[in-house]
Amino acid sequence: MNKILEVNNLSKDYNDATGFNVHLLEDISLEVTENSITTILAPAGAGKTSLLKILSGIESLTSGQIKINSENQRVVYIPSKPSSFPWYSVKQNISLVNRDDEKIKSIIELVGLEGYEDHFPDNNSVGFRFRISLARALAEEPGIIILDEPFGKEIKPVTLQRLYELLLSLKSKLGITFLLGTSNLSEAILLSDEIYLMQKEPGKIIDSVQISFDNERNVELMRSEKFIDYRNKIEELLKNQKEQSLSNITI
Amino acid sequence: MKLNSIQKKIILKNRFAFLSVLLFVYILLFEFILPVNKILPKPSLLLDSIPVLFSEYNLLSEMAITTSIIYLAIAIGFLFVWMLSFSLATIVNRNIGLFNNLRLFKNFPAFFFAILFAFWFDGSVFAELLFTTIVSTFFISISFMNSAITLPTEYKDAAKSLMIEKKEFHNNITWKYSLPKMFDELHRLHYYLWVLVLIFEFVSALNGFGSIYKLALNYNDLSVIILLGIIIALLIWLGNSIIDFIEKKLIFWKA
Repeated sequence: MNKILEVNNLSKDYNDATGFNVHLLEDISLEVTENSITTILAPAGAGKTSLLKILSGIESLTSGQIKINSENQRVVYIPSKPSSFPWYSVKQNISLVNRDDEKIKSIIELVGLEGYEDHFPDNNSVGFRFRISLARALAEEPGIIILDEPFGKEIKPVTLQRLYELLLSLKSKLGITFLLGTSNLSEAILLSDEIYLMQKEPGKIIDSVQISFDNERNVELMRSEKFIDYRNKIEELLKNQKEQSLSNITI
Repeated sequence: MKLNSIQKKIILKNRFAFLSVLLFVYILLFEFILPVNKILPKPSLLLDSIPVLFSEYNLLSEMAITTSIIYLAIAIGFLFVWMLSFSLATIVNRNIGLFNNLRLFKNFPAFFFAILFAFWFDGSVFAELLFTTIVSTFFISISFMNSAITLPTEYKDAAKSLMIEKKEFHNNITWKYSLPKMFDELHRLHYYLWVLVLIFEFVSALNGFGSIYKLALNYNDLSVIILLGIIIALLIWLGNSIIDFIEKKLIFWKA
């Protein structure tokens, strides 16, 4: 498979408000394969968001190299908090990026928002707002979509399950490449083809695990033996690291 | 806190009852028990003063001057801030220190500026409009910058990632995000301008409601002073209702 994104020895330092130099990310190397979901599994405060923002060109790096091996070099970042604009309808949110009506219509169908074209994002509906953000990202026709803790903690289990299915179907039907940042281990195993484990202080990749299932991916897999094996394996890897640096990962 | 329609109806009903009681007590006390006093005029005298207010004090033309100046100043101020908003947002993002310094002017009382302007311009209608527009533009600019500075990072990141151009980002995101907070502040500006304009007109004693007050004070005409107070209160209430109506129609989202 084609390596669409290669990151070599990426580091990030910055000065905080008191002028103290913070060594946030150290020597990060990873690869993202085309038409896959690659996950960075890290505890809160490890610098996951900064890493994802650097990879999408929003923030700068201190040293290292980022290489995109694709004709389509567009990388779109979807922040962890809802970023759809509440003053625009679903359709207007997407048309900020792409004004082609036919394209907008097909994207709306793709993310399951048909019938809601003229609805406005409700502040309380995380799932609805995530679909709009995803639709907006798809309208850009990017090479990679980066998702930073996309589902949060306030989302209902049923909605969460539907969003997992949406991501998996976008990957399998349209061949979209996703890079996901999360602290939820079960979510990472269910969705990913490869998981990079990241520690904090400084943020550093400590290991990676390839994930593959014989059956089609859906939430039922979470009860399978193979899923539990993966979970045990990753937990074991995490235990071998400094306890405090990975303590916030949700099992 | 936004109230639902039932809560609003209850509040309105309570206010109406309260005003009715006040009116009843006023009529009873000052028409029948204490008809001659130096506190408040007899209700019948108040009614007799209404035609005087129109004929002797030129109520309609003075009202036209005061209200036009206040609402024109708000409209022009809003238009100016809309036109300048891109530069204002750039200033506030680049130079937070300057923005904080500008905020100091909000602590000066309206009275001070009114006196100063009356002193400089000798109280012409044009000077009054100019002065009120400057104050309104400044006030709305500050409330826009206050709001723009709190634009959530996720909006900025999403726009940056989607390569939305600076100007488009400003018009579609920063400006729209700031509108609800700016409208909330508009109520405060509305009261502020009424006080400011009344003081200005009272000091310069040439035009508007303020000049009627000055004249009524010179004539010791308590009925007119009271009547004018009631009319101004009604006009402020009407102005607030119009601002609420526009807000409800145009700004349906929360910041």
